[in-house]
Amino acid sequence: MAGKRRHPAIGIDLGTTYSCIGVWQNDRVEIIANDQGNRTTPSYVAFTGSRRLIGDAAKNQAEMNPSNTIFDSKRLIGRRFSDASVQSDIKHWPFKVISGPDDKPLIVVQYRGVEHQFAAEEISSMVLVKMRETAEAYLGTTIRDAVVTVPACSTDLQRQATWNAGVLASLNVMRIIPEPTAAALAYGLDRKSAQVQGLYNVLVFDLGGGTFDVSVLDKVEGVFEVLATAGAAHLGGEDFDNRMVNHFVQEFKRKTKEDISGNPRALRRLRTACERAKRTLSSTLEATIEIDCLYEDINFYSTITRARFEELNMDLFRKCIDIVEDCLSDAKMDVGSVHDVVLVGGSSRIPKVQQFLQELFNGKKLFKSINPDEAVAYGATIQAAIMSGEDEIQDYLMNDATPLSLGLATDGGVMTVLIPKNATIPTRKEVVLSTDSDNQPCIRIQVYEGEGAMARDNNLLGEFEFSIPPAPKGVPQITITFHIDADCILDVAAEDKTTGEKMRKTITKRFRLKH
Amino acid sequence: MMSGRSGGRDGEAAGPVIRIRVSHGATFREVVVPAQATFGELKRILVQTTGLEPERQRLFFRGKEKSDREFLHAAGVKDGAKLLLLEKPSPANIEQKVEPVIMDESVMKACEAVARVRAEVDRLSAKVCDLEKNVLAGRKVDDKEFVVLTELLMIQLLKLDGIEAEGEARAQRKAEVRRVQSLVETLDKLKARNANPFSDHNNAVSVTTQWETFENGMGSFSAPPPHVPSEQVNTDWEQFD
Repeated sequence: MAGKRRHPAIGIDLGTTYSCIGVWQNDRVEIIANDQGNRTTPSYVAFTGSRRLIGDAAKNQAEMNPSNTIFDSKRLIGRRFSDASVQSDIKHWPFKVISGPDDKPLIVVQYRGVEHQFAAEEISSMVLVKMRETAEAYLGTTIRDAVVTVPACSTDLQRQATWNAGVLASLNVMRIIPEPTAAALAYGLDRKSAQVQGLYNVLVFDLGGGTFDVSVLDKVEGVFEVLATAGAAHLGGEDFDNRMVNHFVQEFKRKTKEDISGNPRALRRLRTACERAKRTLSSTLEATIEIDCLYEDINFYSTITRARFEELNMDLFRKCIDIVEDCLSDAKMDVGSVHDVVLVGGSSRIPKVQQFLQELFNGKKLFKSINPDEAVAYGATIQAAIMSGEDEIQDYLMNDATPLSLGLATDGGVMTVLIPKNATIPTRKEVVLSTDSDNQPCIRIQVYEGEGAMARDNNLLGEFEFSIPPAPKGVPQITITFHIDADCILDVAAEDKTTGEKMRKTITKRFRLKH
Repeated sequence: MMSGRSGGRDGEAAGPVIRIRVSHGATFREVVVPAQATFGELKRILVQTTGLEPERQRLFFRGKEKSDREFLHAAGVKDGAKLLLLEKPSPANIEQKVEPVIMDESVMKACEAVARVRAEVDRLSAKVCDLEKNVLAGRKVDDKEFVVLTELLMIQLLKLDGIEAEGEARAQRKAEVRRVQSLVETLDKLKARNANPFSDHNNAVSVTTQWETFENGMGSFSAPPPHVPSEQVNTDWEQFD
C-alpha cells in the first residue's frame, strides 16, 4: 500500500559531494536508492555536446569532460565571488567561475556548443531535481513537499539561496534545517531530551569526504538550537587518502628506485586502491594493495596496518579533536555538559577518530548505529513527516525500535549482514560458518542489529553457543538461518549438517520492517 | 592409546562385523564396521572419530588407495586388518581467526570478475582498432574520441586493481592489466599522430621515440632510429590531471 498521503513529504541531505533522500513510508524512514541502485547520489552536474547529466552519470564522465563537470556548488551557493574561500576554491576547480552582477559567482560551461553561465543555486537545483525524480520513481507519485538541510554555519543568504534552489526544482521547501539538527532527530534525541531535567546538549561530529563540521546543539522549548559551530572546509577522507598515497609513493621509490609521483595514471590507480584500503582498515587491522604493472612491468604488492594508517594521519585526527574542543569552548561548555555525541559522515567510521572522541568525552557511548552517510537525510525525513502531520510519526517517536540491518559477528568481530534493512517480510536468509581453530568445542552465535561495519558498534540482540564435535579448523559447516515471520519475530537457527545437530533461539523484539 | 569403540550398535544390527585399525596421523583408531561394507561407507563412519569429511579422506590398504565403491571383503580386509588414512588438502587456506569465518570460493569469483572485465576490454579493443584504421588512413579524428576511449579503458584498469586474486586468478588479472595498458599506450601514440597528420617526419620521430620505454606488440610502426634523444618524447599524459 502506498503512503496514505497523495503527496508524501521527503527529506533531502544536499551534500557537498553526495546527496541523499529519504521518505516516510510504512511507519518508518526509507532511504531511497537512485536508478544506479546507490543510496547516495553524487552532487555532480555535467554538460556535454548533446545533453546534461546529473549524479552518477555526471561523475562517471568527469575525467573525460573536466571543464564542463560541476561539483562543489554547495561551496558557492549564497557566497560572493570576492569571498576569500571562493577565491581559494576556484584555484582547485577544473571548471571556470566568473564574477557576475552584484559580485555573484557564475559557473561557465559549454553546453550543446554554446557557452552558458549558471548560478550555484541553479546547479544545486539540478541536483535537487534528480533527487525529486528519484523519489517520484520510487513512490510512483508526484513529490512536492520537502525538508532540505544546510550546514549549521550557513548565513541567511546561503539559506535563502538553498531555498531558491528548491523552488527552481519545483519543490515546496517546508523548512530548511541545519544538518546537525537533522542528525540529532535521526537518533530520536528530540524525545530523549524530554526526559532530561533542564538543558539537554548534543554534540554532532560530522567528518565527511571533504569537509569537517562540529556543532553543539541544545534543546530549548522543544526545539534544537545550534549553540556553536566549528570546522574545517577542507578536512576529511580525501586528506587521509592523500597521506596514504604519499606513503606508498615513497615505498615504491625505496623498493624500485622509480618515482611515480609525476605519472597521473599510476597515481590514479594508487589513489583508488588507497581509498579501498582505508575503508577496509575500519574493520580489519591490515589491508592489502595489489597493483599489477603499476610502473612499466613492475608490480606493486604491499600491505598497510591500521596502526600505520593512524600514524600517517595522527596530526589530522588530533586536529579534529582540537576543533571539537574549540567548539565546546565557543559554546562555553565543558565535556561533562554534553549529554550525547552523534557521528555523521563516512570518515567518522575511522576507529582512531572514534577512540579519540570517546576518550575526550570520558568514555561516553557515541551514537553511530545509523549509516553516517544517511543520518542527515534520515533526520530531515523525520522532520518532513512531522510537518506533514503523519499519524504514524507520533507512534514512531515514542518507540525506541529502529529498523536496521540484522547480522552476525564473524571473523575478527566484523558485522556480517544476513538481512539488510528494508528487507520485506516474511524473509529467510542462510549463511555457512566454520571454525577458526582446531578442535574448537563450539561456535558462538551473536546476533546484532545496526549499520556499523564492526559488530561491537551495533546493538546485540541475543547470543548462544552451538556445540560441535572436535574437528580441524575450517572443516565444520554450520548453517545459520535467520527467519523473520509475518509477525516480525526473528528466529535464529544453527545446524551442523554433518551431525544433524540443531539449535535455535527466538528473539522476541519486534522489527518494524517494510511490508 | 586406543580410542573408544564406535558404531557398535549399528554394526550388530547389520550382521557380521569386523574390527579394523585405522592409522591417522599420530593416532590409531579402532572401528567396527559391517564385513560387507564398502570403503565409502567406512569413510562415513570415520567422520565421527576423525572429523574429516568423506571427500577429504584417502584410505590405503596394502599400499594402494581404495575407491569408495570397493568392498572391504573383496579387497581382503579382515578382522584385525590395518588401514592408512591420509587427508586431502583443505579446500581453503583459512588462517587463525577469533570468530567463525565465512566459507567462499574466492578464486573462482576472482576469475569470474576478471572474465567480466575481459569482455568489456574486448569491446573497447574493437573500438581502438577502428580508431587506428581511421588515423592510419589519414582521416582526422576528433581528439575527444581518444580521451573518451582512454578513460573507459582506465575505468576497466581500476576494476582489475580492485579484484582480490591469488594463484591462477592473479595471473589472469595481470595479463589483462598488461593488455589494457598496451591499448592505452596505442591510443596515446595514435592521438599524437592524429594531431600532426601532415608532419610525417616529426610525428614519426616523436612516436617511435616512445618505443624506447614501452613494449608494443602491435607492428604498426617501423623500428626507431637509435640516435634520437629522449627529450623529444611527447608528454600527452599531462592532459589527464
